[in-house]
Amino acid sequence: MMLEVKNISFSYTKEPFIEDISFNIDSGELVSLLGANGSGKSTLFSIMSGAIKPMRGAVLYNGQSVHAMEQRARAREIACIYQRTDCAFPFTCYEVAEMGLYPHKRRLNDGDRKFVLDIMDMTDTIAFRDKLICNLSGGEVQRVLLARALAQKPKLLLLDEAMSGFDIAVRLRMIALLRRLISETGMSVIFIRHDIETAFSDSDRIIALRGGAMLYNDKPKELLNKQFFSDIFNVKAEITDCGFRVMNIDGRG
Amino acid sequence: MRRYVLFYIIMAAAAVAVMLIGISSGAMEISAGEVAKVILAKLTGNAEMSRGIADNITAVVWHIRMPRLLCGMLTGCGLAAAGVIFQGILQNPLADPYTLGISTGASFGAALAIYINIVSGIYMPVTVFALISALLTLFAVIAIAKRGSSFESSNLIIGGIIVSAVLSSGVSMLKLMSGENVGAIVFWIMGSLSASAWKDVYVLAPVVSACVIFSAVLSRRLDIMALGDRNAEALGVNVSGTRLIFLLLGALITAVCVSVSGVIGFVGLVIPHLLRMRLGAKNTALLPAAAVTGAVLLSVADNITRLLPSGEIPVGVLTTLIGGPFFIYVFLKRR
Repeated sequence: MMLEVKNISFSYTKEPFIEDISFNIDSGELVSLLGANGSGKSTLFSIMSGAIKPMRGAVLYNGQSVHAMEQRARAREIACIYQRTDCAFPFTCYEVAEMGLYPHKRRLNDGDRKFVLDIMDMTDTIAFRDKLICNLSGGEVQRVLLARALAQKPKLLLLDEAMSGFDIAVRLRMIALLRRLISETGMSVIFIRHDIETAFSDSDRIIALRGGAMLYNDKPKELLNKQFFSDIFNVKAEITDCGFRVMNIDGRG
Repeated sequence: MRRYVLFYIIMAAAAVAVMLIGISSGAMEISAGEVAKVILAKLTGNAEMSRGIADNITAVVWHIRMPRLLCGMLTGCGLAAAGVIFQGILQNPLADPYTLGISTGASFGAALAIYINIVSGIYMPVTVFALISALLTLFAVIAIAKRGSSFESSNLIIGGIIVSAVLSSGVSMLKLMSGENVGAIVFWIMGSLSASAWKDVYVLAPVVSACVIFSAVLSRRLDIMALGDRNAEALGVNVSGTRLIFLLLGALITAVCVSVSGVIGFVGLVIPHLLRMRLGAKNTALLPAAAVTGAVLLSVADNITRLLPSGEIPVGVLTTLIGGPFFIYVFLKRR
């Protein structure tokens, strides 16, 4: 067991926002976290990353609480990409990707630089290594951030809608890259996403939230049913041979 | 790498040139050779080297122009480095050493000391008052911005604006109460190096150099913080702790600079910006480069104000008068 989420609860106001969520992630798994807007995905994400503390429960990484780990030690194990990242200063893409090595070492040598460039090559960002991050499109920035996260050499990668800006070809290439890294290094990936179609085709497991509670935690093919779509997204779904088709709850598609 | 080497060679040459040309010119013309001899004699403690040079020349070089030049360099160095620091921790390229109201705090302390001097005749040391008031302002801003154990940049900016507004009304009040002696307060706030003495150098030199060096050592953390608090935390930077350390370093630099020389504007905003365009955003390179450039540029500016044929103007007025339009020009050209 790599990550154990145990009875997590959290609230912003008096009302509980996340209630009693528990699940485990094994090493080498790609897990998608689905849910409608405001279902608690991002809050759960922040708790798993160690950024905010749960009010009850614990998140254990290899048996150790992520909230008690020393920050740099945690950054050597767990990498995060957040939904929105702005940069107020003219850093180049290479400089941003290189920041991923910060938890590992302060002084970089030529081998480290080559390592970062190799990762930029894998993430299709090498072409804009000298461009300024503030001049890139949303999808390009996300790829640079993915390069930075991979430069952290993480065992667990947390992505908060990190592929929402990718076109379909890039998305497939990046998923294939993650798959390759998963099989080579045993890394696990937890992935908040709204691209439900691809989530069903490429995840090992889907965890789905509604109103701060975990309703489903299963393999994609087990969840491919009408009940799932109406519970989680409040839409009607038609299950077809090649997947599913969704429409409004009143039947208009 | 080569552009940095070239940059530092140019800056070192410029610093020596400013020293020799600046100190030799003025109401009393002294040759550059004499300036060099006096400085070397004083530095090495070997009086033989300045033999044949009149005592009054030695006095002007060593006791009037030299401390002023050093104060200019140290203040410029400090303000430019503090600019990089504040822009970094506030994650805002528009921040400068004065954004958090530390300069207004120093001005208030100075104005208060000058006011007491005027009305009661009791001598109050203006620099000490300015320094204490600047540091109290910093603590007030920190107290306002603190939420639990964390400092968000927007809270710091809001705290700075509020405290600054209150104190600047205080300064206005003191000016009003000073009546016809208001000139002394106004002149102090304008920012001038004309009253610089060795005692100021002794305050500035250790504080500015220690804080700038320490900040430069930690500056990689400022890079990581540029992508926002959450990203920096995820990369293993303790954002609140780092922000507090840099806040104290930047504020200490600003407080001593302003207490010695008044409010010299624009150095802390323009120099980090211009250098970022040339050298890139990495603070590890930017911070030392800004410190050196600030030192050279402010001492050049001060020598210009000192040597104006129409009589001296405060250097703070000149830096803003020239720096502002120059900045606009560079900004527009870049787009």
